[in-house]
Amino acid sequence: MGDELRLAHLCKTYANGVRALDGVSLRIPPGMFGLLGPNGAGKSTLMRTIATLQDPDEGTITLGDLDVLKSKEAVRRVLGYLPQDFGLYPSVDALTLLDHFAALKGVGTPRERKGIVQDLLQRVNLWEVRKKKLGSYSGGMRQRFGIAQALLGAPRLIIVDEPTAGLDPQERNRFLNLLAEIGEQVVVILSTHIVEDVADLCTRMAILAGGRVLLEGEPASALEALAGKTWKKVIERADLPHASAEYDLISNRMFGGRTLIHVFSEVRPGPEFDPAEASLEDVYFTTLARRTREGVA
Amino acid sequence: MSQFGVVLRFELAFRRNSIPLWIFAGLCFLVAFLSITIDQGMTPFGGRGAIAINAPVVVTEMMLVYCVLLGFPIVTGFVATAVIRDQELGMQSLFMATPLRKIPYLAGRFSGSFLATSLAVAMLAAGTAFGSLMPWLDHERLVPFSLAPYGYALGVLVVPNLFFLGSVTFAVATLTGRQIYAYVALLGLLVVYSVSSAFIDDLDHDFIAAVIDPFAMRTYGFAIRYWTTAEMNSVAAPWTPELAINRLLWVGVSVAALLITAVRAPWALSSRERRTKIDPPGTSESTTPVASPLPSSTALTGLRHAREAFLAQTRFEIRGLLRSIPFVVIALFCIGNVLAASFGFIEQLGTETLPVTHLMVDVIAGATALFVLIVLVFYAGELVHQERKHRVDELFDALPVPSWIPLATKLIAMLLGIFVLFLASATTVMIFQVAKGYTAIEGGLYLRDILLVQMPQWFMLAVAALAAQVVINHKFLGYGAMALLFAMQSALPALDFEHNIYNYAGLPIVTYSDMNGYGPYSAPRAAFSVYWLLAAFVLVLLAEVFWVRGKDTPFRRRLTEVRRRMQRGRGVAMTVLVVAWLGAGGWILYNTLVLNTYRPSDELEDRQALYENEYKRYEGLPQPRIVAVDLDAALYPYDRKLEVRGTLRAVNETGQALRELHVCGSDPDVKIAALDIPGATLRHDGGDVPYRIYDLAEPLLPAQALEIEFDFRKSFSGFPNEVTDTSIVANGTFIHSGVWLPHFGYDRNAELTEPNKRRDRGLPKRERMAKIDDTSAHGNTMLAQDSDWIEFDATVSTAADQIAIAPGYLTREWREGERRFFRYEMDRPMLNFWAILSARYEVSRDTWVPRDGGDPVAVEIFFHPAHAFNVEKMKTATKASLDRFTRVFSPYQHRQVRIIEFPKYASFAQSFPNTIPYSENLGFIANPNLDDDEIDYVVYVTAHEVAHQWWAHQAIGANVQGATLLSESLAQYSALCVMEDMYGEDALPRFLRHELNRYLGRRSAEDIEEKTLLLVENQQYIHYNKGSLVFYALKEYIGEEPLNEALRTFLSEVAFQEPPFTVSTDLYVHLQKATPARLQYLLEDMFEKITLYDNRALSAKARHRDDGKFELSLEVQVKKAYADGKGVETETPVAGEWIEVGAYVDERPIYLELHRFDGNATVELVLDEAPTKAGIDPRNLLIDRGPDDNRKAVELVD
Repeated sequence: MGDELRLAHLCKTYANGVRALDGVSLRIPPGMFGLLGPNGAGKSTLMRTIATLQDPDEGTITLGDLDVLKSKEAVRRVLGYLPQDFGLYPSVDALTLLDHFAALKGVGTPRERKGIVQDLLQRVNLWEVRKKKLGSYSGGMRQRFGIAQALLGAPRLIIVDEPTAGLDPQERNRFLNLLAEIGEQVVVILSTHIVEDVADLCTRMAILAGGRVLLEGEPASALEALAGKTWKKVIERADLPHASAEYDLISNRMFGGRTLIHVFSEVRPGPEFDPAEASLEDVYFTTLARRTREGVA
Repeated sequence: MSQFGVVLRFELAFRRNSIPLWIFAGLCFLVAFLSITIDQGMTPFGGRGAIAINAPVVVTEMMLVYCVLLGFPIVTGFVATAVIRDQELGMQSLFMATPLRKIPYLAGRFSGSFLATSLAVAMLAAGTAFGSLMPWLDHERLVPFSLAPYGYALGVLVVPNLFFLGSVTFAVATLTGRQIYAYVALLGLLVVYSVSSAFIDDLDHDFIAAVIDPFAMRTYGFAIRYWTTAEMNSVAAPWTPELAINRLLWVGVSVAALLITAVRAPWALSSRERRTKIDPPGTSESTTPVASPLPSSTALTGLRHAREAFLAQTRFEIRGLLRSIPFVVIALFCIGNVLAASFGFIEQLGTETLPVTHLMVDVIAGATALFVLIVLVFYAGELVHQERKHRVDELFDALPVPSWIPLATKLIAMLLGIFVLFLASATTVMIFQVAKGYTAIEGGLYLRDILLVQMPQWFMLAVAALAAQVVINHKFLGYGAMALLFAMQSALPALDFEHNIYNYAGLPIVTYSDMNGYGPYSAPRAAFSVYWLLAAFVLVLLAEVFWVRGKDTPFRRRLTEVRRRMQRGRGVAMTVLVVAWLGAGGWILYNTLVLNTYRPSDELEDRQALYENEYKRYEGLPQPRIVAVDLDAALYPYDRKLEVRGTLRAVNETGQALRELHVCGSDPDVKIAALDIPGATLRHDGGDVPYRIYDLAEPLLPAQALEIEFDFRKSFSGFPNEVTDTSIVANGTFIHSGVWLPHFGYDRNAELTEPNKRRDRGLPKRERMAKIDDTSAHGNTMLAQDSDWIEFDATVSTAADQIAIAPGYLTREWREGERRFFRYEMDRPMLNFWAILSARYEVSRDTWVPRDGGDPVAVEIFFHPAHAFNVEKMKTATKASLDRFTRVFSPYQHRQVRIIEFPKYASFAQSFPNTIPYSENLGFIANPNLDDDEIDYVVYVTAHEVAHQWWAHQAIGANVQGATLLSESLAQYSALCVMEDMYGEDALPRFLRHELNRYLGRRSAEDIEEKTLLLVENQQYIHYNKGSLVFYALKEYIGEEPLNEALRTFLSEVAFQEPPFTVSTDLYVHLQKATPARLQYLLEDMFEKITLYDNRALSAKARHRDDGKFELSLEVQVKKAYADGKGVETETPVAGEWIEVGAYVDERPIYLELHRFDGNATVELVLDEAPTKAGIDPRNLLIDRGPDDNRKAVELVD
């Protein structure tokens, strides 16, 4: 069993006054951990902070016995990191660059390295195109290369930031499978704003917004909390303002030209409402909506 | 509003908000303002001589140079990117989706950017103009403010240059879609510019150089090349055909580039955005990844990991740099430039030099510098920001790799790139050497120079560039910081801050001599190299702790990180390095300030002023004259030590009793170990200014003699800031009488001469020389104020493997222990003007026997064994000279002529009695291609120096105006005759053409006043260049024999005369006698006036007559002007002047006669052959500012 990652009271305020992290504390055991949050929630800041790329103003991070903020070098040795937004040298081929990363990461003796690189490229299904220049790769291929480099050296801590954005469904599947496979023994933090990713993969999750952790736990227990408390109804678009004033609205989306609303309520809000099976999406929206209300109040 | 108008307005508004553009505009203003106002106009633009601080030429040249220097970055930064920035930001598709058409879009973008940058660069004019109005400028050195030069510089030079630079880079960038190619295009332009430099010194092709220079710098230089001070201060807007052609040509190229862009630029998404992404096989079906645990592997740790990572990253960086397009292009251009420089370097002033390795090393250093600079500045920016540019920084930064690895590997890649440039250059010049048939290639010298002289310096700058990029963390500001560093490097010395200790990467100059290797230059160079390399390592460490890692980059944050990194061992390393650096600095200061004296230029000048203020009152004080010198000079070349003991006899020739003796020296570093003057007591010692006053116990009565024993010493310990004293070196010692003998009385030659510097120090205006009729000055020659003819003997001892030489004849040679002794005795009185040389010489001996069978004369060449190339020719030229001069002038007074090679620390030859020291890079390595009519300057220089045995060592003028006419001009004439003897008359026109070019060119650099030849005040362009022209013309006009007769008679009257000495007017009387009445006007024009012709062949038509002959009708302009000392010309009517008219078939003259002219005329001639060219004064006997238009191709008419 791998080590647990603990974040305690992380705070970060940028020079422009944005408070990106506002007392974030989390315990992340080995396994897939989903970090959900809207754009600008502070996810990337948190990920980069764990990935040793920036320092918080306050707080501590430990990975097992390791103090992440003080022993960056040691953390980097066991870290696999796939940033949200990255590029690759366009004029270098995949084999060369991955081998290069392996050498920099100190993975294997030069002799072993060849095998490791081959194995990883096969895993991410890039072996056939290993000699092609990275500049010619599609978004999905680049992303797969990214995961390959993140997996170099059997990392104990894997951080993947918005990995499925921009992937087609097939690519996304393959990518998630790959993650799932390795995500059992080590800490994998998957940051995303796509609820499905978390629902499909993660054993634990947290929802982050405005730099705060709004919810932390297992997706199943979060769903449980909502069980029997979500209701749905199809209304006309024009009635939406009325509905949102009247009900504890979780979400609304277009459905066959009309609007489907989900509402939170301990009891059925009205006869025209049908019970809805709670999804993680409902959990997410409920959590966010609650925060907004509290913020207003 | 039209589409164009909309785009233009948008572009201007966009640029108006661009802070970098405003910074650039401010920079332009500031640079121009400072250049005009600091130190009364910084050289090389203003502040020289009588040229005003704000003279039109100064203003124009300065704006031109800055516009090109600043134009490169500003244009690539702003104009070239006007369209591709949309592509790069991915915005082009947004524009293309609007009804906007292509042409208005392109035109609007270009015009807007070009206008904005032009306005920024125009700040140069504002800065200059504003600066020239500053109250602290010396008003006597300003000309009245006028807008004309600014308008001219902007309209004719600056704006067209920017237009050209802008349109070419814009076209290239837009058409290729890559900014990098705009840089490549700029490099190409630099090469065109650099190639044009190979032509400018070639008088047959200087027109080409003037036309093809894309920046018109040489074109402008060509237009003003013969301008005098008066013209430079007044003429605002020169307009020559070359300028017109040049501007038309390059504006034409610009317009063509824009048109091509308009036609060819794609109006669809760029190929980069359209590039199809590959779809790898197997992605279409959903293959399940291999489900297995990740393979385990050895995790490298510690040193092993660091090594692997370091090697991998090094390989990666090196491959990236060496394969990048800009580097390949830079390398190719560099090779091209080195090749062009090789040709240019060995073909100077119409003569080829052997491509010896030490010259080729200089070629490499000079021709690669720019490219190395580009590589280090450009790639420092590229490499430091490379990861971020490709957005792989987060991947890299999260790797377990210490920060020193990216830094070190990038530095290594840059250094290797630079080294590759040097290797490529060295290979190029070696191939060049072989192709020229020169095979004595010194590979070791190339390697040593590149590794020990070149690379350390570039290492320091590469580190600075890298550190600037890392610390500042902004690419263009990083470039700006480097620009500031370079500016500071050259500004500090210009402001008299000359010590290398505070000038980053400031290294003492090294001069490599074949004779003496790096000699005394190696120690200071090595010391400063160590010092600055340590500083560079401090910067490396600094860059390492400042290395940006991660995303959190506000400077305050980085400082926190820096503090943290400094705690980890780096603090210790930094402390150690800084201590070592400061230690090296201390050691350097001890060497340069304590063991040696550091004297910046202004301090030397202050001392000259002090000398004048303190002692000028003693000028002309009666003093005894030196009549005999007996030396015992002990040279220790390998220890760089010298002890000159001697006895001199001085006689009171004044007719009054002398009570005090004023002894002065010229070199404060000479230690006076002993100076025994019988019965004298020291009353005053000037200390740092070597001036001592002794009281004589018994007055020295008239005709009474005084024996003075002296012991002068010099030795070197440690090393200086810059090597200035190369008089005594391991191989090639060369010392002379000016320093190594006590002299009597105030010497006005030691005064500060530069008028502006005198004025700054409150010194009165100074006469450059005594007036010709100042008889008080007739008692001395130019060579000494305390002696003329002396008895001379010398014992010289030196190292066992060297030969030491002094004037006189070797009477005895012996050894004592490890020392070799030579005794030289002169058998007749000689001028007190001697030199002692010592080196490991090879000697070539020959004898010249006079035709009439007199005593033979020994001809001996003492040369560096590797420099045997021209020894035979020197002997031949010496014998030819002896032959002619003894026949035409008078017998030779010595039994021997010795030519002695000395290291290239100076590049002259000088004539001492029977002894001619001759620089190693002057003649010894010349390789004139005589088939190609090149000037054989080996013969010329040799003959000139041998001629001084007559014109100086037989007849010497008084130290007044005109003195150098008697020595130098006559030596020039004598040498011309020897060249004619050896190579025939055809050898001379090319030489004279160069003399004319140099005379006209150098008179424009006159600081004070151009004098006439008769009253020349030791002005080289007059006594050498004009002297050659005048005497050659005189010989052609009045005939060689009458001229020689006049010289012979003059010589017989004045040879070996005692004071008072002769003056130039004495010679002039003889010349007047030899000149027929109808040509007296010419003699007057030549010697008593500054005469400039503007003769031209206006048209030349020939008609074939029925009798088979040809009738030539030649229409000519005859125009003459007199110039005053400032160069103001007054046209003067031509009346009864005799000027040659010639007709040629190709270069063969078929008619050449003097015709009488009273102004413009049409000359009718009947010729036997059909002429192809005809002209007035076709041989350029007269000084003509436009010598090329004297001949014209003949048009054959029916």
